[in-house]
Amino acid sequence: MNPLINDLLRCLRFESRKLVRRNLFWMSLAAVPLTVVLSGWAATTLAQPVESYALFAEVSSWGFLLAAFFLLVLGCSSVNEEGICGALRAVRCRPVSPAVYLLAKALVLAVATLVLATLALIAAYLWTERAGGFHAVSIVIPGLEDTEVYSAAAMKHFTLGLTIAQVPPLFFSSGLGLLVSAAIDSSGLAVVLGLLISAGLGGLGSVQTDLAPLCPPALLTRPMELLGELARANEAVQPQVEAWTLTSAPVWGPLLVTGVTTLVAMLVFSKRPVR
Amino acid sequence: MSGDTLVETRGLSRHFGPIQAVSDLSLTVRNGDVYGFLGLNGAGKTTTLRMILGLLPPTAGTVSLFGKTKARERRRLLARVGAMVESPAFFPSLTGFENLWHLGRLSGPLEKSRVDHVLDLVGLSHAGHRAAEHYSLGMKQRLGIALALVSRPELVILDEPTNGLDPNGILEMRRLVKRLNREEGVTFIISSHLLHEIEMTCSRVCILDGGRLVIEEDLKSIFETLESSFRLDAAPRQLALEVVGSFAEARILPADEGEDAPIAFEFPRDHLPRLTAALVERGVDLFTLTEHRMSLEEFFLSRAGGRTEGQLT
Repeated sequence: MNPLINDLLRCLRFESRKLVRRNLFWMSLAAVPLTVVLSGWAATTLAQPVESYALFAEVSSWGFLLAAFFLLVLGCSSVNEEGICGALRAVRCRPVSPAVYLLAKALVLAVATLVLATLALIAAYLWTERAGGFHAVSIVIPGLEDTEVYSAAAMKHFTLGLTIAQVPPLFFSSGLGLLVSAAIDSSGLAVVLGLLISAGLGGLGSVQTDLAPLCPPALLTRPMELLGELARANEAVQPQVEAWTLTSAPVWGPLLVTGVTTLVAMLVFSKRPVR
Repeated sequence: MSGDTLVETRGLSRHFGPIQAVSDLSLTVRNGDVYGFLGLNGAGKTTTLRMILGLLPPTAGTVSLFGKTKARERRRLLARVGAMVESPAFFPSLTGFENLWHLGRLSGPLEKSRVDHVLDLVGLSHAGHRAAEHYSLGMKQRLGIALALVSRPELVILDEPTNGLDPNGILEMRRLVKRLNREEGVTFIISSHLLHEIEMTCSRVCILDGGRLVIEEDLKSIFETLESSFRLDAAPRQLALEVVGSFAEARILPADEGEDAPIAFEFPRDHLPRLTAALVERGVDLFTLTEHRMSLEEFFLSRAGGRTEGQLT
């Protein structure tokens, strides 16, 4: 086997073991579905009854938002904490390339991202089913007699598309955390800086809407907001909802930015002297 | 450079801002050496070890590892090196066994039985499945040594390996180094502030002072060149002193333990029979005549700036 692949596989196994020994990871596994359930309970008990798709959109967004936070913190403390305790020295005294070591970290965080996203979605789906389930939606266009009806299956299709569109920004959260962690020795400072960058990019994406696909944090809630709007019979969002596919810019934009961020993190990590 | 050379530095230098940590350092570690690295605080020992391992780039000069000087080639060759630099370094949330297993595998194929064997070698077999963060200082040091040994390296670099070890641990450590060097041909570079340990363990030493090489020599050769003097315990003392002083080649040294202390003097070793015969002839009662050779510590202090013992690292 190619030595680089071999190194990568060994590093992946090592990183997986380290991740499952991190309390923060287990905390995130518990907190994300719990947040979804609590927000669902609040939406159905304390507020006005909402349409099932809007409910799904709202509760899953809370789950994704918390997952993004945990992934950012996990990323921000993944390299520098190893540097502080000296463990990185033990790694860099070995023949494995620093770039491969960091790539393994990024891949394991990507798997963690998928796990957290899946948990958020499962919790949101179960809560929505419990609250009445998904059904057909009628969109009445004022002034016209026609009523456009979306079947439950069509709505599930839109829901799936928009759900997938929420995952790439989560990858960016962990990628950004990894970059900040490789560049800054203090994990506390890295988390603060990561949050500021994330918020800054979100703000930029809101102001410069043409840049929105490349400003992943801005997309964290947007797809689900669209779904909620559609469910509230806002036909204006219909073209936008139908435009969300796996190959659309809101999906590959964040993935592209995540890839570039990870490459920069690999470069920074390779060039930095070890403490 | 011969194929027998594992590490060679030529004109190696490193500065941190205005501070010159290592300056124009050229040293050679040969296959089979137990190489002692001595120096006062800030002499540049750890900086040199970090440059040898590629943890820190030099500002000038070259490092050759197993004959390779390019950084990328040297990194691949780290599979043949085990190291513990500065302090034991490992992942605190993993167990001792997991640390050895995962870090060892980064150097190449590894069997779990080897990990068990190394844990046993350093006396940690009872604690292998405990999280490393709960280890005592001495156990962490042992784990650090085990990490350096786990991948069956040809060259082992240990920075202050006896820090935190109890006397029994230091003795075990010394035996382990000697055994691995003798039976498995492992080459060691050991940096230590315990000069006695270096004297007992190493076959070759180098002394750094202010980032510069003071001496690099076989320990045996150093001992052969060390100045020696004699201590004579005899009565009556004044008469013995007169007899010794009557020899032109004798140089009486100041008494360092008072007037009743043995007479200290330098004298050619091959003229000793003439001296003892003269003492007996003059009626001096001879109790002891012993040779006093300069210790490595005295030699080190005389070469490394003559600073106080408290500054040793």
